[in-house]
Amino acid sequence: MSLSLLAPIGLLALLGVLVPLALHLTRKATQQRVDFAALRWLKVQARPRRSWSLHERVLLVLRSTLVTLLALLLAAPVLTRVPAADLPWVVVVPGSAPSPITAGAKWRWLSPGFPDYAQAEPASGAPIASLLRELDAQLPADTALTVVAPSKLSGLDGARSQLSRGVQLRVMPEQPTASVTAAQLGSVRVALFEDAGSTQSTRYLKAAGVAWQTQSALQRRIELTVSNADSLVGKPSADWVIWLKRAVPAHLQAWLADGGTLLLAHDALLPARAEAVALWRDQAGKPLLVGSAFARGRLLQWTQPLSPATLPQLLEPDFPQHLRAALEAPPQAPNLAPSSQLLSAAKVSASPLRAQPLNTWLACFICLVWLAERWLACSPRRDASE
Amino acid sequence: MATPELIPPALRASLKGLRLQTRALSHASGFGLHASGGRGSGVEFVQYRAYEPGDAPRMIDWKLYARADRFFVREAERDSPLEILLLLDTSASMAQQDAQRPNYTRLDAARSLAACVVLLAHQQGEQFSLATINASDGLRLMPAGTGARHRDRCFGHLLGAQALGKAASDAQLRPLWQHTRAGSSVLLLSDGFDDALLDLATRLASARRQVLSVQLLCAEERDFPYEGGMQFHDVEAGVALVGDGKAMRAEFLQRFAQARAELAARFASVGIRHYSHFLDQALELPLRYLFARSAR
Repeated sequence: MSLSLLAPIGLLALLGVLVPLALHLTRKATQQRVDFAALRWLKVQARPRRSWSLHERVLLVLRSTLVTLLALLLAAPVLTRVPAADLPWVVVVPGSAPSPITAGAKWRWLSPGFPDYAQAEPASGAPIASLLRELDAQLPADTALTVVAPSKLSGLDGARSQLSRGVQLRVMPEQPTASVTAAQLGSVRVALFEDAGSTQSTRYLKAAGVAWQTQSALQRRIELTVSNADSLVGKPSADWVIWLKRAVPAHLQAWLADGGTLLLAHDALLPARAEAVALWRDQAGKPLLVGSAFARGRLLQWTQPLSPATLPQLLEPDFPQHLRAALEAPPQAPNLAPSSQLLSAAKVSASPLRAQPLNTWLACFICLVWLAERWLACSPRRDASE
Repeated sequence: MATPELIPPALRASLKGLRLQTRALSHASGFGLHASGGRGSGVEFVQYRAYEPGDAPRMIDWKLYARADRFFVREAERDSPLEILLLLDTSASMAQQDAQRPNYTRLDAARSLAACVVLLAHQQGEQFSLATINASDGLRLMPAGTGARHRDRCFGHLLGAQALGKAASDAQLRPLWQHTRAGSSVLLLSDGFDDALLDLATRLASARRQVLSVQLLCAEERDFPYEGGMQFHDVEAGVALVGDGKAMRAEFLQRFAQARAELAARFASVGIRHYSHFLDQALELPLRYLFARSAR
């Protein structure tokens, strides 16, 4: 149990002690009154020496104490209770191979709430570095900590984690996970809504849809369906929508805001959206396809009419790949790192946990001292002596 | 007898060697210890002289006539009493006291001196009167008289005197002239700061009264022991003076000593016997100076 100050700069307010000191200093001329009848032979020779003295010393002490306590209050004192040393902890990252529990240590899952290891394995995906930091802040300073982790970890910070204690890392082999087959990836439904006047441009898009179906088995299957724009009633039941009509109906916009991907023609009447980013540029750098976020969906738009004259890339052989790359959601940022990179050798100071703020107690004490000072200052005993 | 407050026993014992006497001739008639210089009926024999027409037949010494068969008149010294007026200044400046000896003011010393003189006068069978004077109460006079009762009345008057108010004015002092006559003694007990009283004393001395003066001063007025910032108050004038004691000392001592010397010279020039008494000295010193028994 130790007293510490959260804001030691508040102690600068101790300079305020000078205020009651100055108030109590009197430069009163120390004059002693004496009856003197032979005054006519006295001449004022010199000004009487004025001496400095402190009057009302008890009150001065009380007031200085008050100022000191106020300065202490400003400095936010806290009582830090160092918790007693605990058994060593062993935390296991979900996803590592099961390890036998050793006696003499606390086994926990590295998961929110740190459940007991004996319970069921929680879902992986929790931010590991954040949980480690939380655990490090909670545990007493001299409790040993061991982390059991698989060889690859996700959910880490941008830099190696710096904790306040040395942590032992035990790397376990990962659980064998089944390889993902193409059938598990699922398929994407693309709906193409054409207008009466856009039949020419849909040729190229239909050709791209055919090209998508013949792509490699490791990618998702894409199924393209073509229908008339006027036949759309309600929200489309597709993942991606290519809309070639100028007017964008409200239900389509609602579907877009819910999280759909919409590709519009260059002359579509767009709702207000954020700044567009070029997703496909030609060799000169001119954007051909721009995209932006719209609520939870993605809004893409051609910058040129879909005809070979204005968009020569329509005739290129890699047009389907470019179109697919633009329509696909941006890939997830890589966040796997080897677990040996988890910890840093540098240490941070332990956070003062369980710091009990003393502000209320100090404020009560200050009130008492202030009442005492007021009573002393205004008591009739003092008036009588004045 | 005198209460212990007025006359301490030591002072009472020192009164033994003292005697009220006068240099001047008093023309009062009556019984007394003092020689008047005039010839008349009395006790002390001076001479026999021949009878002259007009002498009272009573004064003829018949024994001598039987021997000499001629008329002779017996002459003796004529006794006359001493009349002494005690004038006590009871202005506020008389209430000043020394820091060394609080509760002993100038008025207390004056009271003791006056009581001693009253006692002496009573012992000698003289006539004595007592007057206290200040501006607020005016002149309070105990008329001349003799005897134990008169002495006790004087003591009572002394005990009841209080020092307050300013110094008396000339108009208030004027009635005193009726209570003194040429040849009588006046004893002035004052601090010497009131000009009206000093003028009265000089005029009385010029008018053939025998004036004795005791100037009562505090030891602090002689030494000026004040250090540091002081606030000097003149209670009579209501004036205050603020200054540093140490810095004012030399000049005050010089000016005050000069003023005292001037007063002594002024009194000496009109024949007033003057004594400056300081409160830290024994009270018998002024009495001894003024009334020591000396060979006539």
